[in-house]
Amino acid sequence: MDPIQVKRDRLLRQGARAYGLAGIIASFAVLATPDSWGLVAFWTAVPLYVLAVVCISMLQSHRTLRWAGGLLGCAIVITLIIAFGTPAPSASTGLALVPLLGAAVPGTLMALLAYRIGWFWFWIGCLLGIGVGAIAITPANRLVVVIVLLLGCLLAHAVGYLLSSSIPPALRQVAEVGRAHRAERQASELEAHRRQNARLLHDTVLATLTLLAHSGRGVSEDALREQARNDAHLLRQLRLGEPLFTLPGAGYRPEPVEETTLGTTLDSVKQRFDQLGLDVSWHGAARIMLPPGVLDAFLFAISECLENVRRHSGVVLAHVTITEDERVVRAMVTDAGRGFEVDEVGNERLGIKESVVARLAELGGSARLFSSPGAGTTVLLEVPR
Amino acid sequence: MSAVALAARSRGRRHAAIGMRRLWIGTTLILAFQIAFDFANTIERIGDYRDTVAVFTGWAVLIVADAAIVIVTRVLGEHLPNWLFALWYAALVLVILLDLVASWGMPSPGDAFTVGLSASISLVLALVTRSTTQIFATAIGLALMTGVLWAFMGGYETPVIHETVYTLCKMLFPVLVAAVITGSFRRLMRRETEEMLSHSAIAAPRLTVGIEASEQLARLDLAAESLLSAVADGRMRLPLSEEVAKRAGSLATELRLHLLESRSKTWLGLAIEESSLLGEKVRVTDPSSAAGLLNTRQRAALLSAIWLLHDERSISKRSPHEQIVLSFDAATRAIATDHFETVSIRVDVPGSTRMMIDPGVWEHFARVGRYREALDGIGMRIEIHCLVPAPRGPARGRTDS
Repeated sequence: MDPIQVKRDRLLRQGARAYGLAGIIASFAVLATPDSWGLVAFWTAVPLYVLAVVCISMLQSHRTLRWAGGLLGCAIVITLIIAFGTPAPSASTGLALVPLLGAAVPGTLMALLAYRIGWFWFWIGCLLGIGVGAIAITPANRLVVVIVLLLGCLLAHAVGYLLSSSIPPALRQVAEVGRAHRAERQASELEAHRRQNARLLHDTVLATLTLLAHSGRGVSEDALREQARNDAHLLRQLRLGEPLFTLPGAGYRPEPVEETTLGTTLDSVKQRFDQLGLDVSWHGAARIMLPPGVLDAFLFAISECLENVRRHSGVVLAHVTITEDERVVRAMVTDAGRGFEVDEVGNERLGIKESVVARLAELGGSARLFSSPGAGTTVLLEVPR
Repeated sequence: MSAVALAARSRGRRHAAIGMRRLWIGTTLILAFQIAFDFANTIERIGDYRDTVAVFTGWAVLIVADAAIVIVTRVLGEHLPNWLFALWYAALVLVILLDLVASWGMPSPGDAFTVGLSASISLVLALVTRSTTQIFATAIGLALMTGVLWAFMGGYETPVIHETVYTLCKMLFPVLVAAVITGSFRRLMRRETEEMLSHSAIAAPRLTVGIEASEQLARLDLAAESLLSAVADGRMRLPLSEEVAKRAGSLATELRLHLLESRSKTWLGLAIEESSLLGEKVRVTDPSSAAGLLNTRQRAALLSAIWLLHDERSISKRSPHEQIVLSFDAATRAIATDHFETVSIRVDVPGSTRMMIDPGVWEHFARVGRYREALDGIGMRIEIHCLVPAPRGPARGRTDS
């Protein structure tokens, strides 16, 4: 069954139980006043009230129609007992029928409103109850009581409608919250990656902290200060998201001559797309070393992805996030555009299969594509260092 | 209370009102009809009242108070400050007292009670801003007060007692029923929200750290940074005082633990840990982090199945303290191929039977892998074998995606 339908059904059944039970209790409380205690009819009705409560509590199980029908039966029999079992119907016996037929019956039948033609059964049951009630009531009060009972049924229908129509918009709202949370989690995941990948940095910070934990004894004071300054500086850069390995003199990573840097070349890619009308927003490491062949393939892949964004997404802003660890450099190209069903569009049409996937695969890298209609597109590119 | 619990609570509060606006508008409309109906009743018996001024004052106070609450709740976006609620409640009490004064000494006080009835039912306006318990307590308070005062007025004498009881029921039950229904609506929405939030963990890489751990690492880094820069500036003298040295030591330990441990979590651990509903009822044992090998589709299906099992657990109440246990075995290489591995998952649902489990669960399990279910002495046991792509050679055992 459709999940929305399942939830609607469950909610209506819970509501119907509370509503019906309240009606039964109210009816019994009105009936059980001292002047009824001497009546045989009252004591005959008591087990039926108990049975009615059982029917209502069984609404939870899947045979809603059967138990709602059971309750209607109980209510009708109680009405008939009260009407014809008492020699001269007292005021209290008459008044007890209002919560019974005006709240307990329609309240319980409200559970049927979750189904497609449930309203039909709802009104059949309600009108049946009202009809029996009209017979039982003295002619003087008949019109007023029937109107009150009808209003009671209308109220139950309104409550049922309100509940079942509240669910789909609420679920849509929940889905929106979920999307926002997913974005938040992705951002935090990236941040965690960045911090954890700064292993080298953390190693030296740990070493310095350990020295400090011994109050800095046994090390030259100036050297320790200098080391603390370097580490604090690096931590600050990590916090601000600046590239780590450009600190003069830090020397954590010697720059091999045959490697080219990504920083300047990324700028040229950005400029090119700026001229074509696509704004590229850059995140993450701005300077990463890659062997020239790998760098070319990597930049080419990013450009291809951006070109796809420019042509197909319908938006003019794309985000590129560059991250790295010891083995892999990653680029995530994201747009908030119209997206598509990945399975439905052949890889060829995207132009990605031949050009990007194959070329990255040659170098031991990979490209993965995530998209769905209306939710933008994300391409994750990886190359080994 | 930890920062995480606080954050969860504030998130819960933020999402508590999801979908409530529509319900609230509907309730307000129904209340407006009730007020119109009761007002017509007042007009009908206007000649019988001992004190017509009191009853019309009551109506004026009630309409002003209710209108104020409707406007404030709407303007503040489903929020009502405590003091305003208390003031409003006092106004409702005043209205009921005015009605009792107006109908004092009438032959049937229960029958003549009109504006007081509307006042009590007005409590439904607070459904969206107050908890179910508060609504229950305040509604019972109003009915109790009225009932006790009627005892002095002779409302329980034999010819009229049924009308008094009937009116008390009309005061109390609509509010209680509305509170119960709102409560189940809220619970449903909370469960839906939690499921949706837990599904966001699916996209995590094979091993992940989670939002909380990521924030903790950032905090530790910041603490280390400020300590180190204080040393570098000379704000802290070397050699360091005992206290600061101790702080540096504990910082180093925490940081080290964090860098070592935090990558051992899988998406499933995160999803269950971050949801307070699932956390109570589900336990995962996954020493080799095999859950991380499942692909996105398998993960989504497994999580949906867990949520359905959780629902069954919370409805049936048969063995509420026994948790559902998911045990993952380490991945083994599938026969005759190097490209796939199998991960076997055992799901124990104590105290359950095949009948009690939602059919949707089997559909989801089928999407995770080949499953077999059996009934053992304790409950249902489901074994799933799922095929996952093997991590490539050198990448095997890698700690990232």
